[in-house]
Amino acid sequence: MYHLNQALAGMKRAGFMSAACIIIMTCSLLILGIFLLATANLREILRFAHEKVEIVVFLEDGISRAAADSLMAEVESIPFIESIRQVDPDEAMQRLMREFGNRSQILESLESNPLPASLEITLKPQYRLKQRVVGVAERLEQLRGVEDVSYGRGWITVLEKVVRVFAVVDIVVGLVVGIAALVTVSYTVRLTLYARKEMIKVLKLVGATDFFVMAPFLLEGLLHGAAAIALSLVLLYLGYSAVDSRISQAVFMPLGMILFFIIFGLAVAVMGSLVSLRVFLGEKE
Amino acid sequence: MLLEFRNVSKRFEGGTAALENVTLSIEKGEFVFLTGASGAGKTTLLKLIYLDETPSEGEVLIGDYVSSEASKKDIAMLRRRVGVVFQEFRLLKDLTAFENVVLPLRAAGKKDNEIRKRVNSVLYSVGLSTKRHQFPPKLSGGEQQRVAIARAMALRPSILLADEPTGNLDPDTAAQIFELLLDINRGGTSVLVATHDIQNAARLQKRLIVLDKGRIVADGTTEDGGQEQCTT
Repeated sequence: MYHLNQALAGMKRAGFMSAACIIIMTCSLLILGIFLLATANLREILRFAHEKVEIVVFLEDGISRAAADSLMAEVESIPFIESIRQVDPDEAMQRLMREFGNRSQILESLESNPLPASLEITLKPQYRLKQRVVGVAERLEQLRGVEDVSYGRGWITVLEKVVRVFAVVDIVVGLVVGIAALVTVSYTVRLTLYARKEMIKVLKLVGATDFFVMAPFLLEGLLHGAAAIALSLVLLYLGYSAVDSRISQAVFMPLGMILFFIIFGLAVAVMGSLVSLRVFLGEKE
Repeated sequence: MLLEFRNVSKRFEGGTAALENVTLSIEKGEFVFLTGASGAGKTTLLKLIYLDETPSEGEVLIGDYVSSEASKKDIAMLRRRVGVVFQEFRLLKDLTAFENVVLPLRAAGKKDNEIRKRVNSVLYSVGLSTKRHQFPPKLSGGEQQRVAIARAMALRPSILLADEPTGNLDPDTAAQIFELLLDINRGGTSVLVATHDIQNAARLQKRLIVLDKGRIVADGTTEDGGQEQCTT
């Protein structure tokens, strides 16, 4: 309680510096928060894309009923499959006509239906990863009676790459922002320390341990960090809400990411304070 | 034995010697004056006792603590047993007399109730009960030194070190401060006073250690108004 009172008194004394420190830290954390939010949303898009992943198996033209049934049985024996839907050439043509809309007369001029019969296969959610999809697709290609296999190979690969790049960017931004925030806290605490040099000298003279001397300054750093974290989270949420009202399905940082954000901010604040305290307490009068 | 210097030398960076081969001991309950010209090594000798400095050679033993083996934590604990006052008082101007005296007790982790009782008692013993809520700039030099003494005595130390405690005071006030130090000594606390004020030191007929260029040149008891009997 004594240390907390001292820390609050210190913040009050260094009012302008404290406010400046909180604002700079908030800006730094905001930058990191924006990148984390972007990552969270990209991941959400990727998750959504994975949910929609479907493997379409096109059957050979004129495949016999018996051959189609045996192929179906073989496909059903493959693990990880959630559902299989058979689409005959007529249904395929109807879908195409729907997609063409009022230009569907072009299709009506066709003498016969050129579309093949197909199977639309959905994997169980936990197996909708790229490698697994590719594995199943390759297996399906080997089966007799299969003309071609298609799945959203191209854009899922691109999206997965973007998410991976963002994970790296997050780390880089985290490092840069972390160093900036650390230096800010460190200098603020150092200025407070110099302003209270006499107090520290007297405390050490009368038998205060380093911990006793350091505790209020560490708490002060922590309070700066906590204020900046709270402010930046509120601003990020307001920003997210504004975007969410225009683009539905945007997501805020998940709980794990928020926890990381809080721990990161507090760790930077404590380390910033510790750096200055170590330097200061190491100095001789 | 409360305090012992064993062949202690202290040299600062650049090779300046502040103390040369000093050996001395101070018993529990003793009152000792340490005198000598400016730069003779008085302040350095005091700093070696509260381990603000460590010897370049030799060893200082303070109670159970040995200078060469003391950790940072030991130094903090030692300083709770050694009270120190300075010529310039070193009070915190933005704290009241009461709050200044609270500091060592707070640092030692005492409870609020105990702190309040002890601060009131020690401020009473230095005659400042009525001025306990005054800030140092509102107090006279003598009163500020009394607050500093109260702060140094708050944890009932075994020894009180005073570095030129009357250097900033007029003769009458200086005499009162010496009286206060004698009172403290009568209460059982050893007192070591570094001073230029040979007259007061001689008048009080106490043990006097004379330093010159970092060496002890005399160590004895002053008697009969300043006739010094040297044992070294």
